[in-house]
Amino acid sequence: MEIHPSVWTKLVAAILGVQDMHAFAYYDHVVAASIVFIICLLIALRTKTKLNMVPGHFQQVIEVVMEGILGMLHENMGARGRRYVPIVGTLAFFIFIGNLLGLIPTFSSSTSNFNTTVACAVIVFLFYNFEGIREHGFGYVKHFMGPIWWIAPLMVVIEIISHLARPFSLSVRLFFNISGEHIVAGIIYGMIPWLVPIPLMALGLFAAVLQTFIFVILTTLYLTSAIEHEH
Amino acid sequence: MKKLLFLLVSMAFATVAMAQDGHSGVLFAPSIGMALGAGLCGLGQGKAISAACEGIARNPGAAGNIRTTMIIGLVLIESLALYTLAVAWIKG
Repeated sequence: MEIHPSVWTKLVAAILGVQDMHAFAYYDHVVAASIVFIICLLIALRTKTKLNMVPGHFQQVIEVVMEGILGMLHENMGARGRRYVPIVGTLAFFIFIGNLLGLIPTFSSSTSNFNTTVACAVIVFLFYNFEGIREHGFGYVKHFMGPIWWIAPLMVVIEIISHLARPFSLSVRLFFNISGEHIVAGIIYGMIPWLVPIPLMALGLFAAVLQTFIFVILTTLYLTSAIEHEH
Repeated sequence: MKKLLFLLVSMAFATVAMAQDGHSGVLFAPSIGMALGAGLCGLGQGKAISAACEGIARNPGAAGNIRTTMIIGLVLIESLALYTLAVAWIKG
């Protein structure tokens, strides 16, 4: 499949002095992710340096987002949720800005490439398993066993498959929602370039928010199910 | 009658596309599969949303919880359609 690099990828290629543009186009998502990373860093620096008791516009927006994330974690895990604000918040900001960037002309979404979403999903998978093992020690195996001991051989297989399906479905969902929206908008743009793609881009804006929310809430649910104690 | 006409027109377009392309089945299968996947996924999601609406109408106090549960359910249903899209993408 032909990949069309964004203007910024071409710019980076020109700065780095890359000759083979065709090969460098495959790193489009890396350039986009770097841009997202820089934007996240700027947001963090801006928030941190101008932190005020009376919040301005910018700080207020960030506070609403962070309170939303904290509230969601608190609702699911109680007081322990505070520990997971860094990773969940990072994922939220990275995915959200990555999704939104694709809607701005000359930029491309970092999340409309499978590699980026797989990276996010694998991090979530490893992290919640790590947290489960840290919380329960060897007893984490019991989560895979099911309620009754003699059903364990069956349950272990089912549970392993369902756990492996989690990073797969997380990454596939994010990737196809974002890139599918881009493809449909591109096809419509090819047919009617005036006005008609605008509602689709509004839909893309909605999808960007929704997919971020879904990624974050599923991460929270997986973490909750990993660290919860059996009753 | 209108539907039949539409079907005929779409078939005619498909035939033109098939004539241009050597391997017709490969062209056809992903689109039909995706249409089936999207349609059935829409039916399932419609059921879920209607149940959630009824729940919220009966107990508006529980709207927040119902909405979150509904969104998670919708996402899990939607991922089935996305698997179809993945297969259509790879094979198409």
